[in-house]
Amino acid sequence: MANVKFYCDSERCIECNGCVTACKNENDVPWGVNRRRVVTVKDGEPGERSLSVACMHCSDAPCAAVCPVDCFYTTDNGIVLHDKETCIGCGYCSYACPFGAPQFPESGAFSSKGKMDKCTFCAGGPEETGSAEEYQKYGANRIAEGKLPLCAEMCATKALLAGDANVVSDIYRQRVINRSMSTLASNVGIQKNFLGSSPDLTGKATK
Amino acid sequence: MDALKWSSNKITSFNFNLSLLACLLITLFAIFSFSPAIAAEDKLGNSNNTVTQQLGVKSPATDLWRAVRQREFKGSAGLSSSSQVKSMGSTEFINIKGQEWRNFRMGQLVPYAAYLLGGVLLVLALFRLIRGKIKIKAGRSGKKILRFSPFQRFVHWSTAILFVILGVTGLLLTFGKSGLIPIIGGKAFGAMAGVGKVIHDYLGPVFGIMLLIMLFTFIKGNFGNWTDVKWFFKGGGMFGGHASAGRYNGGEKAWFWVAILAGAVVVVSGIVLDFPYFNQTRDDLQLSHLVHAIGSVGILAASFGHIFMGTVAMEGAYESMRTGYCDENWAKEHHDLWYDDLQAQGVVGAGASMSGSAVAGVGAVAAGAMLREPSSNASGSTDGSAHVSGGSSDIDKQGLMDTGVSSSKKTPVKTADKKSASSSSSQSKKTGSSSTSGESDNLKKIEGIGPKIEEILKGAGLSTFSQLSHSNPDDIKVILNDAGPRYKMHNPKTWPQQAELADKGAWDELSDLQDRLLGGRE
Repeated sequence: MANVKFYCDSERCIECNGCVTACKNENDVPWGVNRRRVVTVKDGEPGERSLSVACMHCSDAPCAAVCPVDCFYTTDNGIVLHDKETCIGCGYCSYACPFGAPQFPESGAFSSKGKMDKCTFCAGGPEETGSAEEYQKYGANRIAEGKLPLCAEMCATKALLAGDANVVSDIYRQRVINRSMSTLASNVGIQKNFLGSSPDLTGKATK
Repeated sequence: MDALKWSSNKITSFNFNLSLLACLLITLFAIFSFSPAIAAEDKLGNSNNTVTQQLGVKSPATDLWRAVRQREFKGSAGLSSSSQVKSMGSTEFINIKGQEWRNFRMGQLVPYAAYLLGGVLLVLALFRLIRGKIKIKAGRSGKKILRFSPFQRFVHWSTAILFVILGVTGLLLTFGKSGLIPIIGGKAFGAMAGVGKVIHDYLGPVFGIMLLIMLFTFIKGNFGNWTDVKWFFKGGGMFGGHASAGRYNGGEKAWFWVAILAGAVVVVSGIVLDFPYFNQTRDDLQLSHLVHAIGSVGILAASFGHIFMGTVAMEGAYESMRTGYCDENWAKEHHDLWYDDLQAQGVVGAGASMSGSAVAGVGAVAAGAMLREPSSNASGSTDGSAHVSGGSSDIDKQGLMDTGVSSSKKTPVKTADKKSASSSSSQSKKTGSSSTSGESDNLKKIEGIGPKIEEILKGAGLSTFSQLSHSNPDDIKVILNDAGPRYKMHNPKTWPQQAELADKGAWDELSDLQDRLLGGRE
């Protein structure tokens, strides 16, 4: 089976928050929870970059390691999921996660933590696949339908990549090579030698 | 020409291969751009410095990820990050503290807490097996001394029950995964821990309130002193020998302060975790959990010792918190200084008219409150006229007794003063002269007076009931104050009144009066 991953290309992300909206809409995410978010650095300054952050579906997931009731499990695809029936809302996973993926609806009596909610890689949960119950608790199960997470599918600039880790890294590797080659061409003049003209690099993020 | 062309081609292809190599390296560290990124750059920088410079294709993504990895967005580099999503830590890419917290909880807290708590239980079990139950050496005397008032016991047991519930639910979260899930399964344990977590969340703040009440209820007598130091050096008398102790021994005082101080730390950190909507960051919560966990384990370990000593380890200890009364011999053996104090006050010992029903003690708040109620059968021994003559100004001895019996609390001492000043001055002179000839009474019959105070009073010339009955409580107070600071606490307010009854030989009335007094006080 494939081992799935997300990867966000900082050279392509334009902080449109389309992924955030797509995720919320597709999964009917509980109020106050954002399974995915876009973080921007140097907002409005030269060198501004954005990245879309969500659960990274770690191979050695800290959330699963610290969970006192052991409600996490990893699917054959390497997707880290959890069982809301067993979850007690202690919040330990949110302390341990480096990406801030596990979040809690503030629905308790003291607006304390309810059942944890996190990105499922659009793979639903432990309930019967495609059932109303699964959708109500975890959102869509697009993986079972042979589709990829909607956030990545919706991404206008294809900055957010999702899928088999090997394919994702192949795509990204190709992008890096292309960008490097463009730069290389302008510096060393290969393109000029081969094509007889300098490439126009105006507006490129790389320089 | 061909050769030249060939060689130039070769050079270009060489360059091309080199650039491909560089690209590959860059790609690699763009993808795995965490710690290896720095190493890869070093390698490039050292061996292929010129190539890197020449190509200048360092991917900006690499810089970004390196900065993310090194958390340059907080502070040092002055880089700021923002997000349209507004929630806890939403502007953070990576929180490295999460990993530290994970290591603490899984690698340190769970195993070390298990070793510590298990070790304490083991030591206590061994102590019990080797040393056996600590018996009351002299056996039970059958006489009971009031040790804890109902309110004190209410505070103790409320706090104790809350503590046990919080301790069990807390330990469930800590050790359930390794201890219970393999036995009862994840689903069942999840349901159990879910209920436990809610109980823990709700009762935690209540425990905090009880802890505060506990502080004020038991702080008196729990300040350390030199006796406690000696107590600790003697190991509390656990290994033979005798360690003197007052109302509370060194161990009890230590436990009191551990419970209060560590308890306060646990409660405060728990409240930070319990109500996570005051803009606490994840770092705050991680730190709070760390403090909460360490504090809880410490207080639990100490509580094992307290519960052990209070129940299975020592005969006669549990009943004093259960019923409020301890056996006199238990008090003599374990709280000798306290017992001495009670004796000095005449509450216990030879001088006190102790019986199973007439029990008095110090610090008994509720018992004192009970005394304020007029007691109907207390006046049973006085004759019927007592009820009628209670309020009259011309009081004879019968009337005086009655005012003491009835609910008008203010009158007894005043009337005693008045009496000593006016009505029976002749009697006073008579008994005064007789006492100088060496006559003396057993003043210990008066509740509040023990052998030591009796000595002091006799030293001051008050040897008979008659003399005592005609003296002013304030004067007695002066005598006591002169005798030393430890007698300051004694209140002689009722002594002249008691002495008068004794002088008259009205022992039944005196006994009735003393039944209503608390350690010789009203």
